[in-house]
Amino acid sequence: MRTSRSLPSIVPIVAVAIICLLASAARAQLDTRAASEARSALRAMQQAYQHYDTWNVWVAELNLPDVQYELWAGERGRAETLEAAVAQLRAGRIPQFADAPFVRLAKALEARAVELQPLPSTEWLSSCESAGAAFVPVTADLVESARATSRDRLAAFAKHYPPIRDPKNAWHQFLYWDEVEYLTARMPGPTPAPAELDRIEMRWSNVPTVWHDDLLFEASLAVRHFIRLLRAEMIGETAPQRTAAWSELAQLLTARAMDPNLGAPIAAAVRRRESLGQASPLTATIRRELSRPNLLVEIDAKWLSNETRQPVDDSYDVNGVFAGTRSVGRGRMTGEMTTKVLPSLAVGRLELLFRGTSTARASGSQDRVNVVSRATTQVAATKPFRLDELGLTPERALAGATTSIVYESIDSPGLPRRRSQAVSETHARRPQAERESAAYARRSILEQINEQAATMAADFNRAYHRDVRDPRITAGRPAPRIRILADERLVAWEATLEGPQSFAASSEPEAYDCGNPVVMSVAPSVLEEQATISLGGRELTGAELEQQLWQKPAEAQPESQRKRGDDEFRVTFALRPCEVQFVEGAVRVRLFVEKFDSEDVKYPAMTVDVAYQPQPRDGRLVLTREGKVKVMPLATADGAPKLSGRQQTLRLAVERKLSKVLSSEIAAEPVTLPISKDDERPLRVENVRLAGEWLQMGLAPEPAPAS
Amino acid sequence: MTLQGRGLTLRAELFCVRFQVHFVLLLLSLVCSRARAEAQSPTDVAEHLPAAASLVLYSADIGATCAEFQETRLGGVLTGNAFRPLVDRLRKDHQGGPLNLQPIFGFDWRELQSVHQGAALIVFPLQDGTAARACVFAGEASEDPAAPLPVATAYFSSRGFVRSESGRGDMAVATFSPPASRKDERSRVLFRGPGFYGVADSPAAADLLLAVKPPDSLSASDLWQQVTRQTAPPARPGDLKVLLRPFEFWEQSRRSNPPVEKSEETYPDVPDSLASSKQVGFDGIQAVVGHVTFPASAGRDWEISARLVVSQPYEKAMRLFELRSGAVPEIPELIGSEVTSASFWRWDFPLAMQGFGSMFDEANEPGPDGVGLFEDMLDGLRDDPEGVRVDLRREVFANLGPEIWSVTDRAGPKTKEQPHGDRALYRTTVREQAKVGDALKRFYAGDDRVAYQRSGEFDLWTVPEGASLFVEGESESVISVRALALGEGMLLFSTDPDQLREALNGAAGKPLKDDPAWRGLWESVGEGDAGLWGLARLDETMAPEYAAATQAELAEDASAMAAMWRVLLFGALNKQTKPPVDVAPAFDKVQPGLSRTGTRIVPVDGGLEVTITGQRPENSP
Repeated sequence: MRTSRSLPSIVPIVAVAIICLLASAARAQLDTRAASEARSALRAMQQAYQHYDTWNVWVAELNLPDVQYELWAGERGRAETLEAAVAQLRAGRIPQFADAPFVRLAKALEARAVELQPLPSTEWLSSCESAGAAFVPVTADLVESARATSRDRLAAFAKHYPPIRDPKNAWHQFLYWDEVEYLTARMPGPTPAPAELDRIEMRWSNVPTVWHDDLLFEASLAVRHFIRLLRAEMIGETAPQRTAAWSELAQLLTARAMDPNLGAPIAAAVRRRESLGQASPLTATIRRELSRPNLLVEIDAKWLSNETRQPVDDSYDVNGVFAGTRSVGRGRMTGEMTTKVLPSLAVGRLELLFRGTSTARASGSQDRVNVVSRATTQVAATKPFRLDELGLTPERALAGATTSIVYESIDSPGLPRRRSQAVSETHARRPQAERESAAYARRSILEQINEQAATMAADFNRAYHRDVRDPRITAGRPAPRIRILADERLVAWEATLEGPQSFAASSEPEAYDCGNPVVMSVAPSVLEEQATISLGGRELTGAELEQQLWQKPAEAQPESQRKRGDDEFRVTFALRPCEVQFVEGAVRVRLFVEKFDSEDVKYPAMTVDVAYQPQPRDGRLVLTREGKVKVMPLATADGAPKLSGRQQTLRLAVERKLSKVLSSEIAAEPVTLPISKDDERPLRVENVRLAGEWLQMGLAPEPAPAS
Repeated sequence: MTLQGRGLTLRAELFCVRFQVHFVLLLLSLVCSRARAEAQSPTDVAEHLPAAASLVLYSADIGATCAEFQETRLGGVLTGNAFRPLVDRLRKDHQGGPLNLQPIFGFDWRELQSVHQGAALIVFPLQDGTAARACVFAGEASEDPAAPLPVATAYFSSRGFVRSESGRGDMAVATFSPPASRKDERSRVLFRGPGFYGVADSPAAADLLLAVKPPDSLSASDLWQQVTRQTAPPARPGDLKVLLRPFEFWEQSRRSNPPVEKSEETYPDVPDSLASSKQVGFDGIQAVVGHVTFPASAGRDWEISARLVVSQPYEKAMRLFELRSGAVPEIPELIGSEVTSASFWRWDFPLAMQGFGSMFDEANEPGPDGVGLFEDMLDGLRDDPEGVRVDLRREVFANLGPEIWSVTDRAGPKTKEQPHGDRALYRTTVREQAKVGDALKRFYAGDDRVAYQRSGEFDLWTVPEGASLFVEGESESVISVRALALGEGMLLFSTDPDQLREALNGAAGKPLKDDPAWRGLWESVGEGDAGLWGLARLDETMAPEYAAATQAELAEDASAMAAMWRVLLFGALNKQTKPPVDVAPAFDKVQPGLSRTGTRIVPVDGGLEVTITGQRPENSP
């Protein structure tokens, strides 16, 4: 009888089952069985059908770039996109969608969409309680299993990209390949330090924003999962500790109803649970709810279309062999280059479109037959782009052309019969000449549009990588998460910049109807993140601080400051160097200074408060300081007893020095967006407001200079 | 109490005129020799010297000066066995400097000792503002092979300098050009004519020197007239006459040796001690004129009498020098004999605090931007609604002084910042004590780093090591006052709480006033009214600066005094020259040459009369 099986024989089976369940549960933090199956189904479908002629139509129909984005976004993925794809797959309009790969994909996406549904806030507390009670120790076997998976996936990637093993290879260094191999090889050696694990995990979590590769992505999931388990094993959290931690999170979530400023401790608590392999739908929901995009650029779609519209009127030389005849002459191409933004919810898709007509007059000669012809070619070309966390990526261009040729004269010396024969033979070769001429035009326009696209992408990526993405990755911060939301009315570039232990924005900005075609919305957390990168833990001179704060090049500083005042003081910031709030119409900043050395004086830790009112002036954002810079010894900040005279002297001395850097009025550098077709015409800041936790600016291009 | 800015060391002990003492020591070292001769009038040479000279050291009988100086304790040390290895090395390396003149002028002290003529060592500006040096003798040049010019000719020839002759009026000029391989060397010019001869350290210097006409010469200048007046009649044949325009001298020297890493173009803007000193107004000291005498007899080893010619009215930090004249005080019981210095002066305290403010500004925020920082701070302490609302000017400064006592010793804890255990104590009289006490109590109210206690009749405030009673923050040099006591009509403050407590309890050992040596020195400088009296032990106070000067590399923040020792010992400050620090004598070998000094400063119209006496113990050989 099955029930009569003895207990000892059941134990191993149960143990194996538990390990499998635990592995599955643990993987749920970064990956789930449904998510893995969805990615696998998508890959299989792509491999099977991507060479079909109708592939591009299906890509658009299913919104595959967005679908892939949501599958790679992990817990941040949006169910709606997957559900929409499932609906399309099951609509029955396209016969191939009934094929097994599509059916498998629909089923997998449906399952993943269910997983991505957020938890209602009413269930947050009970979920905390459940999570706190569900204690299972992280065993060595579990860690070993994750280690083996990581090793396998790293090997698979290395086989796919052998140069990764070369220590001089840039990717080898970027991915800390040696350290990761060491970790996953289980070599005898010292236990890795917590900071080391954090650093490697962060770098591998940023991988998808730098290189889109399936094998690398799968390896990154495995490595991160392994590191979390390893960390959990090293810490060895007990059941009461786990219960207490989840209980504390529950209390913070409850208290947040009364105190919205609890975002930071909640973020730290959530990150702590995640880092120990305890991420769950609850932590995912909390992140999604409390950490929304904090830097938004919304662009009027019609304005963008007009702004990027460019007439084309080029003359060119004709020198080619058409229907066996070398023809030489001049031509003129007229037309228009436009940009079209396709609807999206995650990955932006732009098309650079060219529609034009080419007319050319050429003469050629063959077998003593001289021909003068006039060719008219209709040309159309499309260059698609992808806009996502990687930046702007050009994709394969398509072009078509049709040519019609009219012969103005066909002349041949000799008898009329020979001339007549020459005319008829020339006319007979016209279809060939038209085909070859059209092909020539198609090649030519593809070359041009590809070249223009490459320049456009390079310009955009240079700015995006330099100013947004790369500094964050270099500083060990999470790379920006980017979504492009586009419809007929608006194109929105949304960035979520959050710290390892902090959230982005807790709300969405209100619509700013200022009449400007571009609206930029910035939450305080963006400024905090930026400050963390440029100031956190750093020791700076006054001149360097000014440069970091206001992005002023050193040579723009007054002569006197560069010489005598350059090292007047040195300020060392805390790792978390500032808090920013938008309150009562002002940007209020509190800087946390660990050390302030001036000449031979070493001042202790202090806070520096300063408030600026933003306003537009002469096309720039101008920040006008409210009152004085206020310095307080750290011990007396907020609510502490009044300053003593000694402390007051500190305050007065440092205030005076910092007032030179945090000057009474600062004009921000002009805003330039990479979409501007002319760098000489930066966007003017025409409207500014502080609304809730948002600083919003209305931007418009400078009027074109009178010609 | 020390206030130090970037490259700037400004000590409150300036009132003990340590600066002047040390500076003159440098000058003294230029004249160590063995000869003796008859006196001559200084105008002999002065008629041939440019009026713009920034430094003139003149002896009517250079041989006598050398001999008299050598009789002093310092002279004995500098020319004795302790310094022989260093001098030998300098000669071997052809490194010119006060201890080895030959690489500069071609002759050395051994030649000067037999010259019984007037001689002047001068520094003056060339047209480009750099310093030129020359040694000019009165009378006819000797052809004796051991005389200065023949020795110089032989020296430069032996070093490969190429000689060329020329005439200029009735002057014979020999130019020695260095070999092409020695790019850093300058040509030297030997000149001789009716009534004077000498050596200049460049053709440009010689050109300028030989073009001087008597009506435009130094002898016609007001300052030189003051030197002549002050030193006539000479008390001893070897008396040395001195004229120094300190800031011109400093600037010319700096232009001649700009910092290595700075380009010439940026030099004027490079923040340095020269700029800082000007910023605080010390360039108000236009000149120092006076004489040095070397009696080398019981009680008095040497003496400097000088006048500081100061721009009027006193401005910026120079207001600290605005002393009030009065009778010599009795030395109080609280000062023990184991001090390194003790001084007394009279101030208009509020005015002096304005002067102090200039130094505070420069130390905290160098340059014009810092001007007003101290005043802003006082305003803030008075007006800031979140602050203590204490008006230090009205409630404290106005009630202090005018009498100030200052005492330094080396009995403090030896820390990284104070390796010799230096500490300083100040005592001033207080008028409305209750008002001052109330202000101080409000100033320190609620400050958990400040400890308060009653000590007898005194209110006592202290802060832990590294902190300051005046400003929150740790400073190595900006007034780290750690203890303050108020009571019995006095305000005392110190860099060391133990020193202040000891002072409140009275001197533990023998009081200074009962020490015969100190007492004698005090009485020797104590005659008549004056603004300041001071006593100091150079053999103690010089140790840190001497140690700094004999490091392989002079620290960026080394004091001016350390720099002077460096020049005295090795002849150069620039980093290209690696000084032979390995053969520099240890400080204990130098100590016997450094005396106890007594200082007296009398405020007079247009400046200060300074007298500094180097004491020679009664039993000194």
